[in-house]
Amino acid sequence: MTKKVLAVVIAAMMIIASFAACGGDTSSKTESTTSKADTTESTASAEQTGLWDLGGEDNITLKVWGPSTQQDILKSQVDKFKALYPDVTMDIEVGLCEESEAQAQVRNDLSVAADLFAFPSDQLEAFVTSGSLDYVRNFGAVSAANDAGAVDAATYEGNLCAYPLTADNSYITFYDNSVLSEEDVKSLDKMCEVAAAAGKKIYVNAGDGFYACLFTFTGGLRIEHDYATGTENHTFENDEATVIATLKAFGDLFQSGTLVSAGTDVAVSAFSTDAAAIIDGTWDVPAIETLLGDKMGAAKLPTINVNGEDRQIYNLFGYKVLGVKSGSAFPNTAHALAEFLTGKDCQTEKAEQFKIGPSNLEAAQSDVVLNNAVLKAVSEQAKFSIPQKSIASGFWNAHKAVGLYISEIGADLSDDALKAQLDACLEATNDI
Amino acid sequence: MIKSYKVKKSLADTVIYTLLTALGAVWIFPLFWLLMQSFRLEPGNYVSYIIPHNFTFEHYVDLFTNQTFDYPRWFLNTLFISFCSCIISTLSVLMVSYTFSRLRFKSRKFFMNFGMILGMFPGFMTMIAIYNLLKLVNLTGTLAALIICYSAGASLGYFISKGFFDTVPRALDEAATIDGATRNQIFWKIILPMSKPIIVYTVLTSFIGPWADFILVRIIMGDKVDNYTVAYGLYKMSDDKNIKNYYFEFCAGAVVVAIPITILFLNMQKYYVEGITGGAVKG
Amino acid sequence: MNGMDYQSMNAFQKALYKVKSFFVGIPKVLFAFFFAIGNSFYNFGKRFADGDFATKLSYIIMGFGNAVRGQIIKGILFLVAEVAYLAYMITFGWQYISEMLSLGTVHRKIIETVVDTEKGTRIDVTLADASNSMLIMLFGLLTLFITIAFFAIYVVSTKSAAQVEKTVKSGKKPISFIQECKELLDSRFHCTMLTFPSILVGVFTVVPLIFMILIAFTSFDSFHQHPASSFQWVGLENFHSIFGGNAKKAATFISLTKWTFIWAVFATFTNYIAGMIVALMINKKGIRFKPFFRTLFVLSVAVPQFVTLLLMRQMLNKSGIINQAFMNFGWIQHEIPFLTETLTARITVILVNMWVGIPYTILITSGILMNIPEELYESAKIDGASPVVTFFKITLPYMLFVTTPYLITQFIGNINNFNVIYLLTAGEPTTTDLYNAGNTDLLVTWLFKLSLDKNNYNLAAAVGILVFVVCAGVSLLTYNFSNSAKNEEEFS
Repeated sequence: MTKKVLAVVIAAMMIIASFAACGGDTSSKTESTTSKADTTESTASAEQTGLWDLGGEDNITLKVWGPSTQQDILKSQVDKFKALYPDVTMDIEVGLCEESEAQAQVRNDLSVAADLFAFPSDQLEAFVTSGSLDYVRNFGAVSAANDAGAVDAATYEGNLCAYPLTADNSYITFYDNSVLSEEDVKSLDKMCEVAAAAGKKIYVNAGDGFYACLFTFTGGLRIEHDYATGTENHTFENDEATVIATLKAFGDLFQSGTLVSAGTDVAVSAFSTDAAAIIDGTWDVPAIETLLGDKMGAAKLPTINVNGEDRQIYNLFGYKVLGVKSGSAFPNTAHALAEFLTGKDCQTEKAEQFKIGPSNLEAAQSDVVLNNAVLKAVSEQAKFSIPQKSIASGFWNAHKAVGLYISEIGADLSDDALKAQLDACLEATNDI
Repeated sequence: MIKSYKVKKSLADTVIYTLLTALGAVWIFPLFWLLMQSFRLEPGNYVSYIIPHNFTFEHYVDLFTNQTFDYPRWFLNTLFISFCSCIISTLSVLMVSYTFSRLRFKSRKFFMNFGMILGMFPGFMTMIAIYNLLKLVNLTGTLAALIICYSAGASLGYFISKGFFDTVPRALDEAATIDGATRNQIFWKIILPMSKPIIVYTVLTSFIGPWADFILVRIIMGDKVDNYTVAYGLYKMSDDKNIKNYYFEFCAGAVVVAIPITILFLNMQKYYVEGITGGAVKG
Repeated sequence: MNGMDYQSMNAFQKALYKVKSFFVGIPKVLFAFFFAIGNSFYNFGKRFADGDFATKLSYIIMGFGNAVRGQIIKGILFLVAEVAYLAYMITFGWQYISEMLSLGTVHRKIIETVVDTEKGTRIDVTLADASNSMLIMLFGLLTLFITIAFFAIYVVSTKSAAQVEKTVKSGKKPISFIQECKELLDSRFHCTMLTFPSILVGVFTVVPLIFMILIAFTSFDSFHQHPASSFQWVGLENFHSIFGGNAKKAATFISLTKWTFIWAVFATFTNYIAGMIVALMINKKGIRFKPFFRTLFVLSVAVPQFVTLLLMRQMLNKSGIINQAFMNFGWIQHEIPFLTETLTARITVILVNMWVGIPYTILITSGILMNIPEELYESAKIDGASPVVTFFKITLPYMLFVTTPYLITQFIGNINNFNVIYLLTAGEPTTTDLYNAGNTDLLVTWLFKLSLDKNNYNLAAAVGILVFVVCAGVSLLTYNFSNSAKNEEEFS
């Protein structure tokens, strides 16, 4: 008899399941959401009127993702966009998702992802190959308006896949100008000398591949992404020996105890105790300013003395880009909004408030940017950097391992040991 | 002779007191440190002293008024989820364990072993599947989804309460059967009233669960910040990007979560111990 | 072999005998299983042959036999189940089942692009997304599950029809619906009790689990994801790559398995023994402030684990408070790399795990420790045994005997102990020798990283299955050897 009860329950389950399958069915087969006739003329006239043609879309609901620190500015920018179209009903939600986490969320379930999401340019390949992006529509205008490096980083197989949003995903030197002078921060060796005399330290995050790759890049390692295999081809600007010598030079400074490796949270916090300078990104400017106030100095990365010769420290220079989700219900508006948010005005505003380096060329020439020490340092460092385009996913851990190795007190810094580290690093970069 | 015995004994006691005090300090130190951090006025995540130079209550105020991270809301979410899932879990655990302990039927062994085997697969292996099943019934991003997740598998943890029921003398059931009671009546009227420790134990463990999980929430809630639980919210505050700005709020939040659970736990400790020792261990 | 022989064997022989009987038992169980299936098919046919017209018709129209003989509600319920099932299968179910073998036929997303190079504009229109293999598999599995459930109901309904025919023919009145409901509260109470939990477990544990087991045999990774492309069945390829097909993955698997075992053994026994010693100290006669000391330890249980672990991570950081304090005291010259050097980090995680686990051990063992017969200690004292000897000769053996099931669960729990490792070291220190793993990673944290960082779901699923095999092996063996399994009826 109980089995009869079971029968009822299962019957109920089946009914629920069949309703649900109904919903599931539609989502598994996306129809082409727009008819071509609507969209072909939609994009062209934007420049003449300053407005984008929304292709007749109305009762629009869209979602934009932004990091926790930028929620307010994003909301106000979205409101400005809405004000451009007083006759169109728009409900644009600003959701919370850190740029670094967008990939995980999008890959978990594209259908609930925001229509517009920002992400670091090195993840472009992953977004493209998973079919998550709707490519930039006005690619001619967008390419012309933005920094060539940023456009290049947002391009995959010749297509501009996402809108360049920032040109600052890199790191520079932040220093306490009561300890170090502008002249001191030109050379890492000098910095260490002065800091040690003052009983202070220099912080760099060797335990994170994003920062740790500066050790090999400074030594002349260059990488080129092979799009066919998803791996990196390695070349040396000079030769392998120079890379090893450079690693040794960094290693020696670590061994002296003045250059120390620590997470950026530790480093930033150390400005209240023993930090003379740290290597960090612009996103931590608010936190650093809280601690240092007027004493905060910013400069491009210093040089390091390798075998008697000063080598400029190279870094990884990345961009943040804004992607439009493929399969968005309102693609015309989504692209219009993306173009608006990555346009000159919005980027200038962000540069002003958050010291976010703009990728937009006009915004980059604005007074706000040119007169700002932090942004100036970022753009100076850009000349000595490796553009962060698509990067093999093994790259980060491989460089982290090198960074951890040379920064560990008591590490074996002989040529052989370092060569073994370098070889392992190059090999592990291409672990797919 | 007697004297030296006493000396020896008091010496041993002194050693034990010292050891216990030292160990107790080790155990309490992180919690004390957390409490101190949450009141520290001086900025900087890492400082080399323990007692703040200046105390402030500001971080708690921030915590409860922050716009982006709506802590009070998370707290209520968690409370609600815990409450619902603890009812469902407790009921299903008790039902299953009573059945396995008292009733004899054909496929009993099979069900018991099957349950045990299921428990041995790493839990989060199934996360994407669960996510998509919940999506099928349009529940992703809702509190209901978490309630289901936290309570659906609860009955697999039947061992401990089954062990407890095993220790309740069978003669009671037999006497009741002779008096004409059905098994249903025996369960509700005789066994359950005698099983306070194991009920409290089950309620307690299933209530605490949602306050600690930060993995399922991430998958199920995605960007629905309003529906986060305290655990995931705090986890989010403490990630690389946010910890520099939300360190003190994180500490304050951690203290606030700890308070209700600590009170609950300390009050129910007795039953917890009785429940688990009655159920998990036997000769 | 009779009981006497078994009694006279030594412990080693007993263990061997148990292993032998366990493996000898397997074919027996299998045989019984298939025999039962065959038997039920036979009965199924026999009932059809023996039944009258109404019973035979019940094989096509479920519940017919019950309905015509007065069990109307029951009959209708059967019929509803049949109609619902058929409706479901015709509308949706069939489609998913039929696609299970191919996992979808559209392999790549199809896009039509219109580019205007002069103006620099383009429009992409998605004509078709690649098949969503994952949903096909999940829904297919669900349909299969429903089908099995339906067939169970179907067999029950035929049985029920035959039963009611027999009752009526023997001149009795068929049992009423209300009577049957009453049975559910008494003689069939187990069905009532298990239905609700079983459905929950079935849908949210069994189906997802089978789904993930199947994933281990597919190519579901970051390159085969909806909507860009579908995935296919690949057989044992993922297991092959773990067992040597891919040198690095194989090396990682071996290295992590070793460390997982070392970790599980240390984590389990350090907590167990140290916890017991602290419990003994607290409960020693003549020690005062017992509740105070107990509360000191138990407080840490009440604070959510992830909070304390994140705190510990910060405290143990190179610039953390512990290093700072040690340097201030002048105990150390350089910071101790608690979390960044392989051996130190491994020791650290075990120590922190003790911090987390000892309070639980204290809670659990206190009561049992008090139950150890006092005479044992008395006689030991008379023999002049030191406390250490007493502990290892009396306390520990007694406790091991009593708490074996607890230890097994702890051991399994530690093999799967995600929180301590993930929150404390996240598997670090990273090394280039391992594939997407660090030196303190356990198999489970590796599994988690594989699916989250790399979207390598297939490899992660294969690792998950292997973790299961390890856990099942360990517990089957120990459980069969322990006394608890046999003593189940002791109190009955």
